[in-house]
Amino acid sequence: MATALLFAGLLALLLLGVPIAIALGLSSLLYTLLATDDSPLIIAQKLFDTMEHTTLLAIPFFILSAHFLTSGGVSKRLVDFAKAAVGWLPGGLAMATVVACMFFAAISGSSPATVVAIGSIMIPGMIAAGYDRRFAVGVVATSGSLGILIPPSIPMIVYADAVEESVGKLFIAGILPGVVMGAFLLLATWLVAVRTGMPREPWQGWGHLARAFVRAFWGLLLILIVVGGIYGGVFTPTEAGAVAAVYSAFVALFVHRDLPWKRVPTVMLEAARMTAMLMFIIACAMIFAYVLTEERIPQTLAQKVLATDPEPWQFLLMVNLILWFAGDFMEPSAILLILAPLFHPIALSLGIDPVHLGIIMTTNMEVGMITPPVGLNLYVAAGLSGMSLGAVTRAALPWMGVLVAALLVITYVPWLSLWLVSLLY
Amino acid sequence: MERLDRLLEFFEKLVITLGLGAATGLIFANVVARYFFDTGFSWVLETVEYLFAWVVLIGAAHGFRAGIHLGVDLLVERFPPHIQKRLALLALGCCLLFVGLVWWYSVEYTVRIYQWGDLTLDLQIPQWIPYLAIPVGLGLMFIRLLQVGWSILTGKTLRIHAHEGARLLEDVEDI
Repeated sequence: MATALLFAGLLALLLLGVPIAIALGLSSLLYTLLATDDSPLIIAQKLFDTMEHTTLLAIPFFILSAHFLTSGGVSKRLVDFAKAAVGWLPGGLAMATVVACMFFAAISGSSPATVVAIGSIMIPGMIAAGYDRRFAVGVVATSGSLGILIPPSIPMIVYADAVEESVGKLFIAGILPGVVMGAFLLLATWLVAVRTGMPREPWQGWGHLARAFVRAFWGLLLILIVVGGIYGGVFTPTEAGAVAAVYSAFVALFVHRDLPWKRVPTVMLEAARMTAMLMFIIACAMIFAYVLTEERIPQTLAQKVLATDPEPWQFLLMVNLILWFAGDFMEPSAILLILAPLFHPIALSLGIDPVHLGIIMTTNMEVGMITPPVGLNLYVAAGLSGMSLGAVTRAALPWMGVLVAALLVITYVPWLSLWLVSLLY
Repeated sequence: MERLDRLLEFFEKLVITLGLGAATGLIFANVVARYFFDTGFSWVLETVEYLFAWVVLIGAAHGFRAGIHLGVDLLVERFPPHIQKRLALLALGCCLLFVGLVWWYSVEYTVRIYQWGDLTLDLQIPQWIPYLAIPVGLGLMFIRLLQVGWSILTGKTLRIHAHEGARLLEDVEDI
């Protein structure tokens, strides 16, 4: 009963417009003071302890790396390469958008960042080429969500920390589902393009493709450094993040020379602000998760759910629906920190692989990214295109069907997530 | 008042930018040292943890000044402005309650750690020094929240938070 109040308090604070981090912290604090005998000093301590989770320290570095990549023109080169590769197909620019988002997703860990990086180039590009504005915005908002499924991925890092799973395994597991999701989006784009007769770009020959590849090479190399480095045991995910950040700065400053030195402090400040905002939410979500654990909620819930003797597919469907709902109100990292410990023991008892559960939860967060009202991708796409949030939401609606179809495939074909992991680990 | 604001802003920006830069540099140097010189520094990870405690808490305080904290406005934005103002003040009161209480606890906690006199594991500095990040960060946050409260009272803004997207979009305009 008291627990229901904890969640109700959180929801009420969120709806009142209290920032997510404070809403998480205050509901946990009030619960600790009113319903338990624990010392509230622990809450102050938890704020500090979050930083001692070394896995989570990878997050700021990947944020910094993404800021350098976007400011330093790497995204532009990835777009050019994607255009050269698939632009000649029907609906070429839209196809290129999906492919460019997949590339950028593979070097950054955030969805809204992917929407900004690729969308700021492709939305005006597609509109200038005569594409329907709504179509252009829908493609970008949806494909951008790939940012968190294709490794590296901030939500996967958070999940790994919450259930003590290996970040490396989750990253590897995300590759095939990410490709499948990308393939679904490409297929949908292709079908719409053929039916409505969308323009193609001219094929400019293999030489052009090769040159575009060379120009994008330094950006693409980062994929190898991050995934190869973690998998090959060269460095930990946290170190991979720091290496990626230094590498991105190096490429922007010395190889491409797109980033003037005097802008470096601004880029770092922006990354530090984003870091503080996200890590503060995470720290407060840790307090909330701590209260849940102290009250033995995960165990109680697991007993109750397992008592109904659910089939694994029923449980996973429930997971999908709860996450979809939660994704409408909260930031993905906070959701994962709170709900992963609740789902994890049940999944284990039902014989569901925790790595697979992590991929399912991450994919669900993707769908949440384009579901209003806290669909960050929608908000960013609205800003980039100058369309209203409502119009962007409607534009993305048909695409949500594609994401949900891919989500169901990823949920019910565990092989997709686990095959590569079983080969490599 | 304005001078204090500028001073605080300078301090916040300096701490978070240098903190993030130093942390990145340290971890990177440690990787290089391990692979090229076959050595490593055990104190690096601990230092980075402490740096981030400062970056995150000072940065979160700065975040209230810069309006970058993420929140949900789907319900409040449906009300007329004069009600929105009251709701915003109520929400701000919740923030002050949390930050104020935890600030108090953190002072108590830091004093306790000071009295225990423990040293940190790797750096061997007094434990209370890194922990100072909590009372300092939360104290700063309280000041920043009062500033936001003043802006709401004087009708300059109706929100404590902004959408993260707004921040990202400002970046695009910079480029």
